[in-house]
Amino acid sequence: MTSFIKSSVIAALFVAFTFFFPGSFLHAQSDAVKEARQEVIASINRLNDLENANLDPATKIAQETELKRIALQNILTLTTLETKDVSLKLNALPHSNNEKINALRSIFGASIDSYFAYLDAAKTSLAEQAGLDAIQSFAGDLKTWREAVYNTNMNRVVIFTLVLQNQETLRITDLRLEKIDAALKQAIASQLKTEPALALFLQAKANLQTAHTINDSALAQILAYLPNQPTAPLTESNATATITNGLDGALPPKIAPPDPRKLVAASVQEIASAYDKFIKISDILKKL
Amino acid sequence: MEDKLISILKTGRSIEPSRAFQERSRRALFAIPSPQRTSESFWHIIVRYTTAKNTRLGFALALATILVMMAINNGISRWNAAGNSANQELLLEAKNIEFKIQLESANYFADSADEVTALLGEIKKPPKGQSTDGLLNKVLF
Repeated sequence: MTSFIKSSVIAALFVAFTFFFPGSFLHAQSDAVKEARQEVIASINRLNDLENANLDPATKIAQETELKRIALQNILTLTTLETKDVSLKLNALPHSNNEKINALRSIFGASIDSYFAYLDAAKTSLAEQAGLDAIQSFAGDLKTWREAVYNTNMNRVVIFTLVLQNQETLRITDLRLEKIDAALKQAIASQLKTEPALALFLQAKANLQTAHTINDSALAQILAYLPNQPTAPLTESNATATITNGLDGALPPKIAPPDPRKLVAASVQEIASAYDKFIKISDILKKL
Repeated sequence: MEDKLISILKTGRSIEPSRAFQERSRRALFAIPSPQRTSESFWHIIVRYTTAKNTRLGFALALATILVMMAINNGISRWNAAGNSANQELLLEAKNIEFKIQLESANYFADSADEVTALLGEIKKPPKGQSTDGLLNKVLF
């Protein structure tokens, strides 16, 4: 009974860690991003305050120009920091044996480099803009770039990273399954009563198979981002062509639902179920 | 722009704005005074769930937090006193795995990208331009 309570508490803890902590305790974003985000919100608030301020039209326009410039500077800073965060996560992925994954990874890396260059140039250009019309037009250009190029492609990078992070997780979980399998075989060889643990083991194995299948389908969706290159290996020049023509183009490839994010979430849930069973198996084996 | 923003916020088919995103957008676009917070804390989530319809989930979340806090305060190693080393290893492994998977981070990026694009639309607008406040308020609230 005590053991049951103990393992239930551990299982509850694991569930808590897995499902409830990421959004709060772990804080998904770096402090720099959070600060930059606050700056953006503050500058937009100042703009809103100005709208209600009782000023003569000329002063109002002059202030609006400067406040909009500041808001845009803050947006550029936030975008740069967010891009850095994504880039760090992309670079932290372990090397893959899958050539397509590696090809896509270099394409994404090159895209991110080009975004850093764009953002740097935009910062310089913003400082040179004079007058409210020019500032507003700059905002329009930046918005167009985000919609046509940046948002779509960066979201793909984020999803790509997520799926590969989960692939790495599955690798670790597979190793755990093997260890438990070995422990169970040893127990069977010693003619111990292993049926309940064996049943849990099979369920955990099924959980992991499902987790793999789901993540593989997310991976397949991601590899569809890779432009068709039946023969030519990916070189620097055609990778660049891909960036300008394929990945950064206005037309996204046809991606069948469901959302890869949701697939990864479902896969993680299966992994969590497997761990829940691992903990119970470990408890059973310990008592034999 | 308005149409796009409204359709995104309303249908959420492609982006599914979270409540936090809607709150942020509302505050950012219309400067509604409210305490600033950089991210939702776990307690905010609990309070929100408890005060909303889903009271049971709110209590479950609160219970889970208490369990986690107890574990942290008392030290997970206490269970090890009974020789529970396998479970300890498993628990640590599970925790490490959680750090590797950054679902929240991925969701944040999608929300933020959309939010910033909407803000750029606001900055782009001339001061005396037609306001979408009324429309957006209708959509959000």
